[in-house]
Amino acid sequence: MSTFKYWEADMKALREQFEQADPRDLQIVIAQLEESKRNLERELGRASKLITISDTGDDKAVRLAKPPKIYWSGLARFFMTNSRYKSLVEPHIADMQQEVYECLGRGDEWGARRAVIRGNIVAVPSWLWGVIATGIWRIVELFKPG
Amino acid sequence: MSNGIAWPSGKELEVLRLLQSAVKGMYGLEIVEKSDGTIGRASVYILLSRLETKGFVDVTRPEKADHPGMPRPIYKVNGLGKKAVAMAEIMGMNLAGARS
Repeated sequence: MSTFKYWEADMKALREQFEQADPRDLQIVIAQLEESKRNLERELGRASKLITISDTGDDKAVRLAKPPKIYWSGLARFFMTNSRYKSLVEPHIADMQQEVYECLGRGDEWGARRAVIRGNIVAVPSWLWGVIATGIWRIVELFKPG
Repeated sequence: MSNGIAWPSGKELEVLRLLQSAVKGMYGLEIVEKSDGTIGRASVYILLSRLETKGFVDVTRPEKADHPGMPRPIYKVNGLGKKAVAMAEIMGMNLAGARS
């Protein structure tokens, strides 16, 4: 919308310039008009890209643009070597994303959510579950009376 | 082993056997599905990682997936892996129940 307002203002200014201009300056006016046209095309191109991502009102389009991730993968990347991360964590992320997009393709939004939750749980190594369980148990022990 | 090759464990042999049945290789989840519950989702990539380290499996990571996410790696048994499965069968090892 704002693009068209700018364009209208440009056109108005050009029209005034054209009316007042000496016919010899016509070439300059035409050049400015062409410049304005190019700017407008550029703006419209940019706007159409934005529309496809955010202004369609289609949640799927937005979600497809941002693949889901495993929330603790940053932590894993920090503590693991690159090769361990690639062989142990990345395949889980890839599987989860595959399942999510399959579910979204079928229109199964809840299935996609379940796939994200499952992916986050499955990718946690079993020893880490042991650490988490021990941590919870120690916290519980702190509040034990006596 | 004397030549420095680590022998695959029972579950790793099971993965190798499943991979041998697929000519074009398999995804991790396909292995889980075809194992009938022997191999879990949480452990499949640990087993595949060990097999890769031991040199029984080749991994191909495609550059692009058919969706905006990450592509899934494809695992394929190599010559050494095939030999290991053949040896295990000759030795009459129960693949699913073999010990590491």
